[in-house]
Amino acid sequence: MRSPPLRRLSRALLVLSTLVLVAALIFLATVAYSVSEISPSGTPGTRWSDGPTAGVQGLVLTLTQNLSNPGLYPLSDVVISASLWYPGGALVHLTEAPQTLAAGGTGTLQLVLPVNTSASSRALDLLSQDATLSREVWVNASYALTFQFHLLLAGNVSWGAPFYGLSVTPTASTTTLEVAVSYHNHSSWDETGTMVATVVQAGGVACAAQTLPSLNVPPGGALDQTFPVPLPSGCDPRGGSLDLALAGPGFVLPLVEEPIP
Amino acid sequence: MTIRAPYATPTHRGVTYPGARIPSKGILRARAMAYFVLMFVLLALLPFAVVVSVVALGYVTLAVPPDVILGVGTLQALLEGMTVSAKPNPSYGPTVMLASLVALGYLAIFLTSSAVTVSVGTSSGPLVLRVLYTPVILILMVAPALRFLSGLVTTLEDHWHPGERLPSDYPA
Repeated sequence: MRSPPLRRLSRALLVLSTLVLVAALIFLATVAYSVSEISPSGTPGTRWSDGPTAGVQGLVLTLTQNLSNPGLYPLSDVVISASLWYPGGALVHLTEAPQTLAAGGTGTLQLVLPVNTSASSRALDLLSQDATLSREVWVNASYALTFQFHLLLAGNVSWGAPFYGLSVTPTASTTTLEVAVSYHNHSSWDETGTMVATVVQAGGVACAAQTLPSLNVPPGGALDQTFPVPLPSGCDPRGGSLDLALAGPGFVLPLVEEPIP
Repeated sequence: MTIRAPYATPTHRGVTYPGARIPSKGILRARAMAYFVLMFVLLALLPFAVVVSVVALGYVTLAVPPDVILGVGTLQALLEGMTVSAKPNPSYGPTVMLASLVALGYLAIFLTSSAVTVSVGTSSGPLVLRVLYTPVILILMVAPALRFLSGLVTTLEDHWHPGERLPSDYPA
């Protein structure tokens, strides 16, 4: 016997309700499983390069982290904000544009931090001085359009100076400027690159430049060497200064401007 | 010796429905009790145990207290049991509507404060993770809303055509 119309309607609504509930629970189960599968892959990457802003002397620190998202749903609208303070002022404050990590694959989240290395910036002090930096990192993200995550990571970071105790002593003779350089690498990365020494005369005119031998100082290592900078005829460095910079792939970092006695 | 039939007389408000085979009150009560126990475990005990154990970790804060989950879950389970025993009666539709409303209210509690906060102290400072799940609650609210409509239609049917549904609900 065929059920009455109202009974069929009420039963259809009941069945639909059950189906919706089961579908929602299956969806949530897949979301929970997919979220649990998200994991970082590889080690965080750091890369220095020249600053992007014309006319502003600075470097860019690019932090990258590969993430594996083998689940069914994308991790979208990932917005990373970071602030870094050192005693006496803000070093970095930045908010990244939203990034998306597609479902079923791997992706790279990136945080680009501009670091002002102009002569007036106290960031330069961090090249040769250890410090305790205050850090706040916010990460907002949306998963499967249903969950929103807000992560705050605050606290202090110990900064190890890459050129701790940097000492540059230029000694001039008639044909050569001997440059004694010593420091300890308190940072956590290998220092590779070359040092560029530029001799500037008292009038402010550069009269000699020399690329010093390549550096490769591991974390915890030290450098204590003397490099000769040949002086061309007519180049009298006395009363001038020696500019020392570290050059690496894609960047030049001014280290020190040392008067030449 | 009297043998009690396991099924009641298929009548409703004095109208006989020969095609219906309505279980006796005893069977209905037994089914209702079994359903209540099942729902009590699923809607009250299990969520309460999960929430209590999560809160006991010390670094997870839930917006809804465990006691509320146990209380509302028990009420929900009671109403679910009542829907089983009330099914042959005109009170079935309103009971379903009431159970659905309580379920909606239960979810609405989570909707107003749908967040889980995890605070962990790390060696370099605090880590705070806040998870918002408002859309999840909205999705889950669709099911009781549909069930409420189903109860409303049943109530109207019982009002306009008393006992009409019994032969299809309890076919002989």
